[in-house]
Amino acid sequence: MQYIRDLKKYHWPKGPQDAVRLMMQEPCAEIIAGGTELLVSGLKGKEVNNLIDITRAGLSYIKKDKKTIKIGATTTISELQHAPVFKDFADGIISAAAAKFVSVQIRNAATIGGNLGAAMPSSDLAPVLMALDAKIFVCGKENKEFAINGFYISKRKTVMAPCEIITEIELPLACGDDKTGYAFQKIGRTEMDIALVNGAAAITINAGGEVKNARLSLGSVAPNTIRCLEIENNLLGKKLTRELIAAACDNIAKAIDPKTDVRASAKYRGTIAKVIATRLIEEAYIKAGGKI
Amino acid sequence: MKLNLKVNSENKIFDIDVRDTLLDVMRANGYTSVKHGCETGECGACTVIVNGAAVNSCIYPAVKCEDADIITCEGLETNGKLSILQEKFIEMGAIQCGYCTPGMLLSAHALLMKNPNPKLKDVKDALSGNFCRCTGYKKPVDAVMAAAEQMKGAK
Repeated sequence: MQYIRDLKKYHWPKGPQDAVRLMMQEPCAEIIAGGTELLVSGLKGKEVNNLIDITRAGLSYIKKDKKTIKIGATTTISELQHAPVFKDFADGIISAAAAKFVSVQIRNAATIGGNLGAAMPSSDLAPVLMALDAKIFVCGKENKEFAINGFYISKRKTVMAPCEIITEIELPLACGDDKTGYAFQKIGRTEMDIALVNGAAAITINAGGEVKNARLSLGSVAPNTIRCLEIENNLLGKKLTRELIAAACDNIAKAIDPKTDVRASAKYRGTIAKVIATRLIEEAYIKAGGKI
Repeated sequence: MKLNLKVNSENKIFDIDVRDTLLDVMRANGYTSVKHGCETGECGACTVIVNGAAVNSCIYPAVKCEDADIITCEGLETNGKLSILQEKFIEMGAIQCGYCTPGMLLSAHALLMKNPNPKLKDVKDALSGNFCRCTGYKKPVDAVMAAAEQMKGAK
């Protein structure tokens, strides 16, 4: 079946600026990378007669320097899963999240930029990148840079303006002597299914085992992936115990806004969100070297 | 428009419409082992190997395949002789209606090209994007494990 009935032209820009120029020229154009989102549900209600494929625009790479890891927007999920640098980096949570990303066939085509740009609340990568405090680089009329916390406005909506594309995701490398532990969790109905609830955490502790910094993110429990700032604040400066973690997560209902859909009820998601949050905090704290 | 590519090690030029998926082009050119299933990248019946990676051809624009190296199930046999993987699927009864089989074979083939020593979890992961509605997953998984074992012995 022809995937877009009115498609007239398929473009291959050589670089991101070239892609932006084409978007400005063609009023009914869409960006395509792997196509696994766009061709399945990303075209609903849109009139599209030009596609701009950015998979040959020089945006497929993973580079590490002294302070950061930079990931090109069209790097596939399979490439993230198997990249040697992500086996150890951040306790392997990027690799772990990529491995849980639906099927091999989808992972071989879908891209990190596409997944973030699609802005679905069930993204397995978004919570991980939030826990890692990633930056998102965007090319448009001008180049912009966004912290991933705040990048999402609502379901399928990001802060990006029309005619802008994601070019790069940057992850800061940990520095200093403090130890950070990381965790990723996903509950899905089957291996292949998208998350009912997912999340990630990064917890930094000092030599005394007190929490110096905490980031906790959850997916599928709000219109988009969220940071749980109040829970994070509840942990700061403390040596964690199971009771303390449970107490810190007590008010989680205030942070989330789960919805009922075909996969799970809002009530179930709310209950599981608390379980996932406590597991994530505990796992990350232990991986940082904390004792519970 | 013309599409230059290699299918099962043969150079080909296909006449395509810009709107065609890779699935459309494969079936229109006689590669009918590539099955038309869900059209949404979920069932895996349309799996083909593009430059070494298994993809769902139903949501893969054909224009992406310029100069690509493609493997379909027709390419697994050599001079009329089935591959070890195919033999094992038959031997172990890993086939019921057969509709999902070409996709399963290609997912398994792509795995074995990269990882000749797969663990059980690797095989399950590799086949997790291929649905069988006759409800048979154990035998295909066993067949892939057995094929990997025999291929090691053959080397």
